[in-house]
This record gives sequence, structure tokens and C-alpha cells, in this order.
Amino acid sequence: MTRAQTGHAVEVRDVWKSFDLVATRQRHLKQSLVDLLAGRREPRPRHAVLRGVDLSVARGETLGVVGRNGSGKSTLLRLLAGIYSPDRGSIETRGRVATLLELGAGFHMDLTGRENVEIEGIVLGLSRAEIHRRAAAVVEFADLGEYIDQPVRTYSTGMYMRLAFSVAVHVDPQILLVDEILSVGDAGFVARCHDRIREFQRQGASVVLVTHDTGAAEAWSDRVLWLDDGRVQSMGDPGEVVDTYLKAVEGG
Amino acid sequence: MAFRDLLWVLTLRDLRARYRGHGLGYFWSILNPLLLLVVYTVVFSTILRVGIDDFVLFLACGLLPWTWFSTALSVATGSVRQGAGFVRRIYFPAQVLPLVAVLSQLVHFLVSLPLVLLLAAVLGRVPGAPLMALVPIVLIQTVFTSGLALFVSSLGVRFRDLEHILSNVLLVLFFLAPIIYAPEMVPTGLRWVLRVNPLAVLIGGYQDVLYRRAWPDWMSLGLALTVSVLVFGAGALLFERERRGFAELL
Ligand SMILES: Nc1ncnc2c1ncn2[C@@H]1O[C@H](COP(=O)(O)OP(=O)(O)O)[C@@H](O)[C@H]1O
Ligand SMILES: [Mg+2]
Repeated sequence: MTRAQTGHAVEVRDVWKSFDLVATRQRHLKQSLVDLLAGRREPRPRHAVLRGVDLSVARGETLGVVGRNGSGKSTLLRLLAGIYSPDRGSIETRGRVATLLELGAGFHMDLTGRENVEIEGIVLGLSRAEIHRRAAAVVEFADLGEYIDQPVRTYSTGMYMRLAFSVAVHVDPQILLVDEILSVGDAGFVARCHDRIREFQRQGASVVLVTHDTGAAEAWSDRVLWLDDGRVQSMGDPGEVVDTYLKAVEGG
Repeated sequence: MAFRDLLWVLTLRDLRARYRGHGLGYFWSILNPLLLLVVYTVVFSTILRVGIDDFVLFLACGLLPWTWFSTALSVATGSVRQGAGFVRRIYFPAQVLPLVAVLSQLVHFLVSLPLVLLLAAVLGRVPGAPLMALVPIVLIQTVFTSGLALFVSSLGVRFRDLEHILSNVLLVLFFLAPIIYAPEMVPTGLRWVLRVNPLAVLIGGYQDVLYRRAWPDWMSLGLALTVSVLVFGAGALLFERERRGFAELL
């Protein structure tokens, strides 16, 4: 790393996370009350998804994250965003966090792109005055033409993504967490996202980028983390980590 | 304050989405209570003959606040689930979701109030100065409903059968407030139920102001306010305790 490191934007120490198995979750209040009254308390099996993860992301650094399906990448991003809380360990983030998880979720289908921009900006932590000041820039970057005043229901997946990305990058996050979604856009837009992320980095913002696309991980990241079965398998030079990861995947 | 902006913008979102595309937006929002009003009036003043003067106005005074209360709770029950698109995507004060349900139903209630006033005018029962008492009454109902909304919405994340249970509970609650009967009709031994049930007190308050053209009973309202604040506090505490686990359950 040649970039000046003036402290960490993200620090994760020995984080563990497990979930109740979806299949054994109690979904009925009536049944729960009956169990409670009968004094029945079965310990439910938990599924350990992250097992002692350590990592840090410097200011201005982009960390790529690769790993097989189910290895815990999305869970890790949600922990970083504070959406999940860890069972053990500590997570520190400094500065405003914006996420690009679950593309376009939260947009209201019956409202226009412009109306959704206002809502999304506030959800991501801006005040009403701030989002009104920035709305024009968001709309311009998304480049949806007349569609910006059409209900989001009429958008293609690519258009969604453009709008979602555009809001997320205009809230001036110090930390941007991206899950998979940059593979959806057309080449031109992806290039602009790339530029925008570079600009972020110059301004000292950090990016954590989960992607299936190992080429993108190599091209965009300062370091790459390979997450395997909830553990950090390796972390470091993008080329090296991606090579070992690919060999492992191809080897079965 | 960010929370207030969020509350505002999400309530607006709810209202916009509801009225979008229906030129009949206002009409739709009062259609359901209007329909009930007509049906109940026919049943209770011409078939069962409960003997309440200007029954349609009396009924409107109870039915509209009831519709606000019951619809808000039904919507609130699924509100966190509905808001999964926010909760699973960003660190988010999920409390706004049930509160938005209460506030947007409050707006529907407020836009239906002119209907009651019109009805009162037509029946020659124009309310006077006591009309001002609607402000505290509506505020107390907002606090009470919000407290219960926080409660049911936090349970509703985990329990899929809650909506079903709630609709049964609401069915019972409907009869525990003097909406289709007058308090005087209740045997004296049972009247305490109406005094301790904040919803019954509130509905009595609307009737005092809009039907009896009198000031409400401030003592009872004070008690209702106290209970409402306690319910709100308990709901907020429960929600806060459960909130950290919501995202992974959705
Ligand atoms: N909310 C949840 N409840 C229960 N299990 C979950 C939940 N989220 C993820 N999991 C499980 O955790 C594992 C890791 O998931 P995830 O973090 O999405 O992996 P990745 O993004 O690397 O594909 C999977 O087995 C998944 O089924
Ligand atoms: Mg994933």
C-alpha cells in the first residue's frame, strides 16, 4: 500500500455471527405462548456464518471481497453497515455509511424516480434541505432522461441500479459498501461508476466491494479479501489473492 | 432532526402512493367508513331501534376514530416486514415504520372530519367552543395508538399469525367502546370498563364534543393520557429491545 494511511475507516476484530436456522424459527405467536406456558424451551440450532473475522479498511482504500456463494460476504457487509449486530467481536466504522445492497429495494414502485430520490436520500441520512440541494446532481448522474418523472415500476433493472447508485454516491459517504450489483449496468455506466469510485478514493472515502467478477475485483481494489466459509482465507495483493482463489475454485 | 425528516418523508410517500392514479383519492379514503356508517345506521336505527337521537351522527363520532385506530394497528403489524427494503439495506430507525402507519391513518381521519361537521350542521347540532377539545383528544389518541403500533409491529416481525390474532382482538375491542351503543345503556356494574379503556374514553370525548356539544370530561381524558403515555413507553422499550434482530428475521 502506497496510499497515505491516516487511520482506519473500518476496523473489524474477531467477529462471529450465526443465525437461527430459517427452518426451525418459531413463526407463530400462539405456538410460542403454548410452549412458554408448558415450560418448553428447546435450544435452537444456530448456523455459524462468520467465524472470527478480522479486517481493516484504510481511508481511501478499496477492499474487494471474493468468495463462494454462502461464504458470508453479504453478512459481512451488513455487519459493517450496522444492519446486523455481531454475536461476538467488535466493529468500528468512522463516517457516513452508504450501501448498495439488494438493488432498488426500498424504492416505491408507484412513485417516480425523482420522488424516490428524495426518500432515498433521507433514508441514507441526509436532511431534507441537503437532498433538495443535491437532487439535480443525482438526477443528472443517473441520466434517465424523461423516465426520472415516471413511476419506478416502469424501469428496467439497469435503470434501477443507476438511480440507486446515483443517490448512494451523492450522499457523500465516507464508506461505501457495494454488494454484487455493479455487474448489472451497461458498460458506459459501469465506467462512470468506476470514475466516481476513484473520485471517492481521492477524497479519502473507503469502498468495500463484494463481487463475483474477479476481474473487476482485481481492477478496482487496492487489496482483495477471500472469504471462505466464514473465515478470512487470505487478504492482500489483488492479483495474488484472486489467483489463489481461482485455483481453489477450479480445483473443486 | 433526521428522525423527523424520515417520519415526514415516509408518511408523505404513503399518502402519495395511495392517492396516485386515483382521481377519487379523497373519496376512497372515506368510502369504507361511509359504507359502515350507512349499514350500521340502517341496522341500528330502523331495524334494531337503539333509540339514540340522530344516530348517524353519534355513530360517525365513534366510527371514524375507530377506523383510524384499527386500520393503523392492522397496517402497523406488517409495517416492519413491509419496510424490509429499508431495514435489510441500511442502518435504519425502524420505529418510523409503525409510526408512519399511525400518522398516515391520522391524515385519513382528519380529512374525514369535515364530513362529521357537515352531518352535524345538517342535523342542527353545530358544535361550539368545545370543538377546540378535539386537539388534545386527537393527540392522546395519537400517543395511545402509536404505543400499541410499536408493540404489534415489533411482534409482527417474528410472528406471522399476529395479523390474524389482532383482527380477532380488534373485533372484541370494537364492542368495548361505546361506538354503536351509548354509555348510559351499559349496566352500572360494567361501566368501569368504559372508564379504564382509553379508547372508550377518547370516543366518549369525540361524542361529547361533536354530538353532545359539550366539553369532554377532562378527568377521564387525563387518565387516558396517563395510560397512553405508559403504553407508548412500554411499546417503545419493547421495540428498541427487539430492533437489533429485525434485519436477520426478514
Ligand atoms: N438472515 C439470515 N437468516 C438465516 N440465515 C442466513 C441469513 N442471512 C444469511 N444466511 C445464511 O448465511 C450464509 C451466508 O450467507 P451470505 O452472507 O449471503 O453469503 P454470500 O453473500 O457470501 O453468498 C448462507 O448459508 C445463508 O443461508
Ligand atoms: Mg451475497
